[in-house]
Amino acid sequence: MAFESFLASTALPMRLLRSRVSVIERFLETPLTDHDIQSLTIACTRSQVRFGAFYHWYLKKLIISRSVRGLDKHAMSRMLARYDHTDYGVLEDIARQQGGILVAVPHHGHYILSIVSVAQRLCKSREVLIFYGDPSTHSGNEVFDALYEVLWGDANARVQVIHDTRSGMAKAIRGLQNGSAVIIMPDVHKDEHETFLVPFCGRALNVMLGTAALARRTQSIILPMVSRPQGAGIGFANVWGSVLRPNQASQGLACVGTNVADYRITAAMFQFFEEVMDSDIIYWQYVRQHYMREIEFPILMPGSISAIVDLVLACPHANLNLGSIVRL
Amino acid sequence: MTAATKRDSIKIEIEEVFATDSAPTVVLVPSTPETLANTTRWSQTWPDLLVVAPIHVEALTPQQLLERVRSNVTPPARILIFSDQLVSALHANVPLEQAGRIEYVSGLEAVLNARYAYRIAVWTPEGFEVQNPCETVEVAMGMLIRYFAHCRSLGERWIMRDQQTSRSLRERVVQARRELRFLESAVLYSCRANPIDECTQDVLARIGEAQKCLIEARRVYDGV
Repeated sequence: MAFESFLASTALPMRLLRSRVSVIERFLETPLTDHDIQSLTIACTRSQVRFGAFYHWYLKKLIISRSVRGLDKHAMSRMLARYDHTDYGVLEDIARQQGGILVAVPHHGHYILSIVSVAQRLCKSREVLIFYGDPSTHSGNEVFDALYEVLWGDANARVQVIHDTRSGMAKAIRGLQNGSAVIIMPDVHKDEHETFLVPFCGRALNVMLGTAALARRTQSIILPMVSRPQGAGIGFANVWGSVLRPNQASQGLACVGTNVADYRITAAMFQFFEEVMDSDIIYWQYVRQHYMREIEFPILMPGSISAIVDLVLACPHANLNLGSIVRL
Repeated sequence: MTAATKRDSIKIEIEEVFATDSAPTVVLVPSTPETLANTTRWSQTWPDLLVVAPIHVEALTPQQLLERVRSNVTPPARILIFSDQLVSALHANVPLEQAGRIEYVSGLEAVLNARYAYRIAVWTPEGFEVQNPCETVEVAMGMLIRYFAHCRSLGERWIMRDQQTSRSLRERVVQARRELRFLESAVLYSCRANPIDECTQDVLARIGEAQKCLIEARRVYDGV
């Protein structure tokens, strides 16, 4: 067992803590607010773990982040070989097929290590583009730029980083049309008004339809994947979902616009994420924000949809009554 | 005028307004620490006093008040409304255009005045401004506008100050877009496994139309 994994294992008793311990938060440099505590308590109950499991997870993330710093390409590969317990048969089968591939990975578990592992394998057969928020607008993402520079900074690398800018999007479209793989994280958004909602682990979650739209436009497939931590140490395994084919799914739906088809694919993708993540939701980067929200996703019975829509469209929250303005 | 004088004037004049005349009267006061603290005392002084104040657990909602007014042969004589607390889309749903801007206010006061013949006494720092019964909606709304201006003059003592932003059209559009997107998502989710039938198409088209109207409204009235 490597030192970092040993360190994480020795801290295992931390998981037995039933409630918050401020000293640990100071040590982990992650002071939690009362809202955080409330939210994490819901998540821990859902995952059937004690509150200390969050501290232990946070410690593991810190250990990884410090271990990765300063590693060269080869040391990183050795580290991945040690901790990655994934069966890559699924990915290898898919990589043999033609056409673009979108690997959709939520910010769950050791997702950075998982992305590096997947990119290293896929780049043997095709160009790989890793798509994420521009560090100029997503503070903290400079770390990823630096990491990928170490791993694939040389001119011949078949792995490139692209950001969520206009030029990054154009590059992703061109790449997918030419059969590249794009690794994308679909559980983030910049503008709420561009999102739709899906049910996710007991709450409504705002999600972009961008991954589905990108795949549909480029006739690519989507391979959903979740990084799931394994064991007491640093280990992880990637869990694969069923391949989604937005181009086929959108056939016959042209009359109602592209959102319907893209929503269906996105909902299916998040349903898979939920299946894997629900019991381990404390390992999700956005768990605190998610459970601060109280709104559950409403499941409408088909026979009642029209009546519900009538009600909502008439209620003052949605109907701004602009036909009856009083002018003074 | 000092803060203490303002507080006393609210206390003294509300008693004068209710005491001097037996005509059905609605009093509008701002939400300040003093007026909220005094509400219990006023209710003890006038056991028939009905209070509308959404942040006060024992108070009535506007809907409950209207039910009381409608159901009684003799209308309740004394009503106290904290109109500055009626900020939500449910309570403040009358769009009022003034100086090119749209803000949402409650229609409750105008209904009580115009339909149920209540006189309205509005707090001002100089005393209560009294509006006769059965005025036009525009007159009643103008009175509300002046009430809010007086509330603003209270500065930090006005505890509902920060909540007033939710009256703006901009804020309402944001909220309404959120509601409609939630509805649209719920519809899309419910039919995700089935072909889209005519009824669903119609429903989605109606939601889409409502969304377009919101964006257009914001462009026209808010310039964005």
